[in-house]
Amino acid sequence: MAEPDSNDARIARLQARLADNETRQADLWQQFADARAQSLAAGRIAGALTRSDRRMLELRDARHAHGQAIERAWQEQAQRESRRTEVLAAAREPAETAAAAHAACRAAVEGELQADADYRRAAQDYERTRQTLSDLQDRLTDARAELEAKRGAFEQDRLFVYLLNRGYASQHYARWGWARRIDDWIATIVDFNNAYADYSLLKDMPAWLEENITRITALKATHEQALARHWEQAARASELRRLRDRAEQARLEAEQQAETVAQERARDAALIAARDDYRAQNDTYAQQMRDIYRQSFRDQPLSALRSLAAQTATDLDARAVDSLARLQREHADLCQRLASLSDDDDDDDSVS
Amino acid sequence: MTDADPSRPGLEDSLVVMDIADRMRRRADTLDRASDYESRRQALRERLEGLYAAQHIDIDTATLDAAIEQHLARRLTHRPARGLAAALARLYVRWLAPRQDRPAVER
Repeated sequence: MAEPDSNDARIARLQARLADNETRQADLWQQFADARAQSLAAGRIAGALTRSDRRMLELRDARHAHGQAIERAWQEQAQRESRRTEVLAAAREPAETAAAAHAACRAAVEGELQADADYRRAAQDYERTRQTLSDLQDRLTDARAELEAKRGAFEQDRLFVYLLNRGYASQHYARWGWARRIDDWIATIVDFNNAYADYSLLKDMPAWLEENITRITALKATHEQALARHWEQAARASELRRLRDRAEQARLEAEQQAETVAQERARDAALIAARDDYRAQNDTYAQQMRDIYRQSFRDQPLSALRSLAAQTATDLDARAVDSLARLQREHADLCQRLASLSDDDDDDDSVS
Repeated sequence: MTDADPSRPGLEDSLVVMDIADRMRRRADTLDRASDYESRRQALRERLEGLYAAQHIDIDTATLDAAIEQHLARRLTHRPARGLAAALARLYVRWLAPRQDRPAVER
């Protein structure tokens, strides 16, 4: 004789049936939505269109345009790439020509300026400050890294920090008698004088370098101005300015063109990458189209669905609504049985 | 005897200022040398290469550079004191030193 099912087993079975019921309902919703969409596309809907129908039509048009764009990008990718290469070359050429003209004029003017001893001195001063500044910036990076790496050992030593806070070995230190002797003893233990020298060097280096960088930056600006004055006074200064502006303008145009081409390439690549999804009807438009009826009909009574289904020439919609009604009844029944079984379970627990 | 001109700096002032300037200059020199990592590396490298060459010992640049880096990593470092005296000193700092002198942050 088979053993009667336990309460837990029956609950589990009912829950499985409930889950299955929900999956089938979801499928039916999907079928209904698909059928409605097909009827709409085929113009087989007799009555007035709902808001969801209108939204569906908009999405269908947008998806159609999206599909056409994908196919165009796919078919024309070789031509588009070749045209882009031509466009880039055409934009780069004037930029290179303008830059070369500016560089040639600059070299000629510099040749003239080099004959002037004042200019040579100013150029040397500028170069020296530039190198010093670069060297100081490198040193600052190293000094900051060293400070971060090594300060912890000092600042985590309680004895060192105690003496530091006390102002030991500074002019602010003012303790006498036993307290001073104890501090001296602690200073001997931590080798305070050497540790403090290292610690202050570690801390002062970045600050000192920053001060120097500020000073040298100002000096470099002065030298730059002196050099700029020489260039301004050169005979071909206005021609050089004009060539520089033209080169700059051409460079900017070439960069803009390159940016536009890069954006076009990215757009086309995205379209081509979306081709498989589009063909599998898995693109965003298709997904929205699938969801649109399901979302809007979810909370409506079945009678409303029946009247909608009656507008279409196919009978699939009506069958789907009948199945939905059956599944919803079954769902309610399953929920009720599950609730009563759960109550019995709770009662058993409380008795035991 | 006339009074000294108050606008003229006295010898003592001058000496004090010279002393301050001298200390500032020495400090700047120290900081300059300490922060010139690349020159220090280069000088050490050249000196060591010279020493090894004088002793007819071949040493590759990578080993030399690694040794220099290790040496530089050890500079300006600190190791907290260990032992009984340090432990007693820590007890004093923790419990007996005046509150305002204790390290503010427990680490």
